[in-house]
Amino acid sequence: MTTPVLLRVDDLSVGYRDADGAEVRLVDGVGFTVHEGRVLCLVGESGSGKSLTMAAVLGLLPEGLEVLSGTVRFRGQDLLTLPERELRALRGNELAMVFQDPMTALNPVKRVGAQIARAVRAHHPRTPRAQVLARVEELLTEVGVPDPAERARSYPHQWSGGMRQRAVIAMAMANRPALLIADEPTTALDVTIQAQIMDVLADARATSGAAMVLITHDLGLVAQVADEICIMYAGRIVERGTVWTVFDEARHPYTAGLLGSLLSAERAGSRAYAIPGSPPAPTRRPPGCAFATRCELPARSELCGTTRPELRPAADVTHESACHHADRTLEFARAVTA
Amino acid sequence: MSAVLEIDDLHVRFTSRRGLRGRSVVHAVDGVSLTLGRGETLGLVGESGCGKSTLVRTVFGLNTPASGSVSILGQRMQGLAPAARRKVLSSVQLVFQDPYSSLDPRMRVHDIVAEPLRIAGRYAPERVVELLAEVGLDADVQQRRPAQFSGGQRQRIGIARALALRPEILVLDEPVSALDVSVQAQVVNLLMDLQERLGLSYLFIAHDLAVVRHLSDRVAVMRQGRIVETGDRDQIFDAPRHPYTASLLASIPHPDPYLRPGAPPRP
Repeated sequence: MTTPVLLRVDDLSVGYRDADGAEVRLVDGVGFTVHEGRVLCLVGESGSGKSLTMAAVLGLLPEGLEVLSGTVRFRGQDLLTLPERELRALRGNELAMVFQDPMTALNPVKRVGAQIARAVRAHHPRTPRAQVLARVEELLTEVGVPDPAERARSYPHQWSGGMRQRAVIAMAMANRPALLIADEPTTALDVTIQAQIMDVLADARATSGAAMVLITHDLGLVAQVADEICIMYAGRIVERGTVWTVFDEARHPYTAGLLGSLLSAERAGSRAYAIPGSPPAPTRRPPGCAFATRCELPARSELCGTTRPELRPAADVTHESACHHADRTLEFARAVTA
Repeated sequence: MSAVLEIDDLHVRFTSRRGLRGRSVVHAVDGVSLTLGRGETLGLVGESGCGKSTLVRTVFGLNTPASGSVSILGQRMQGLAPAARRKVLSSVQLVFQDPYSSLDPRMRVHDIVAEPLRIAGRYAPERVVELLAEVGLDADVQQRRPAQFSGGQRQRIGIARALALRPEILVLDEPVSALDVSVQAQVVNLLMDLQERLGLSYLFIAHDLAVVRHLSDRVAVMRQGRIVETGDRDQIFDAPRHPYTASLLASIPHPDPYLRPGAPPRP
């Protein structure tokens, strides 16, 4: 991998202090790098900490949560210590966001075109009006909105869900960001629209060369777009590697279980592997491996219940796993995905 | 195979006032015919607004069809006296999409599962325990409330409640789409087990084609109030005849990176 590092997150922990002053970590020691122009997928279930991780990166943590440790470097600059004013200058400019529900990103009482124009002007306030309007039309055309001049004058409620998400992407791309953070951008949409939106995102990235962090639980989507993957479970990264190695040679029993539980054509009519139980609450995480109580890896041992496994190279330096028995997972992965 | 549910040329229309020009008529369900055989799973696929929810509501008698009929266990619902209709309808039960909003948060699990039994005058505490066991829950969960359960467990509670009156048909409305990926397979496997054990027939409504393929014997594809294609699962998925079905299938992202354009050869 020779492309320069754009974003580097190290040992990031996010959480709160309970009534006794003890730390509750919702995100716990997460680290990864995003290279220029590439796609990193943060994969996990609800509560795994994937959205909070990126909220912390952007300085957009919800009230009551704080960064407990770690550094976030964007082009070498530490975002966590950056004054709010400078961070704001980065967000929406070099760092852009697309969220699951386009209605949360759009103002219902403002015309769509005016909102995109605002995104353009926010970082280039002196742009002449005619130029802004032309840019709005250009952006809407790029995301495949038909009749952009006409549609720009209508309100969000007059747009369908898929069209609204296109508008949000147009806003995100307004200032040609270097990094696009997309949090479940297609989850709320119908399947055919999902595919269209993923195409729009791919085109937008092809035009701008932007890197992307895609937060999702959909392994189908991951398989189609990811360069690198981080699998998150109970606030930690449990496996990290390229899309090729993780799908082909899962080195963590949780990843293997997820791949095994996918309902696919080949397994139609038969029982898929089901990971037993459900993820632990952040306040009730076991002392050892957080996945231990659900793990069915034949090689699992007492160690799993007592000692927390750290992320370390499993197959080679680019493929890491936080499993004490990472060298014994391949057979299990084959068995559950058979 | 005898049919447990027959929908014949069903039309459901809604009129809405539109501007100053008077009314417009929406053909929400526009001539739908479907048959669900005993012990069979019929997958009903369609995107939002295609009319599948209206169709379900009409099966349960919550909408009055403009024409056509719904027959359950051989009895035509249109024209049946209310009491007789209620009796037939107790053999059709609904499992909801969202296990977070479909259970009353103030009620205990025991009472949630017991409610249909009490209404029908067939309440017995042992039956509640039996139903919970049927869906893989221990008897000691009975005094807890929904908030203490995960999404997958709540969906099990919802299924136990749906099974209370020994229905023959379950209408499954997106039963796993609100669940975490690692729990979806648990619930899908449970539904398959229950069908085998109890001989249930499923009308399975979903937009997730992978789940539909996994669970269904036959599939009907609905669009703009009409069924555009029905067929055996494998025919629909392997050789779709309607372009809309083909476009639905083409939009499923396949969970294998080696199948994407420009992928390297599999090592």
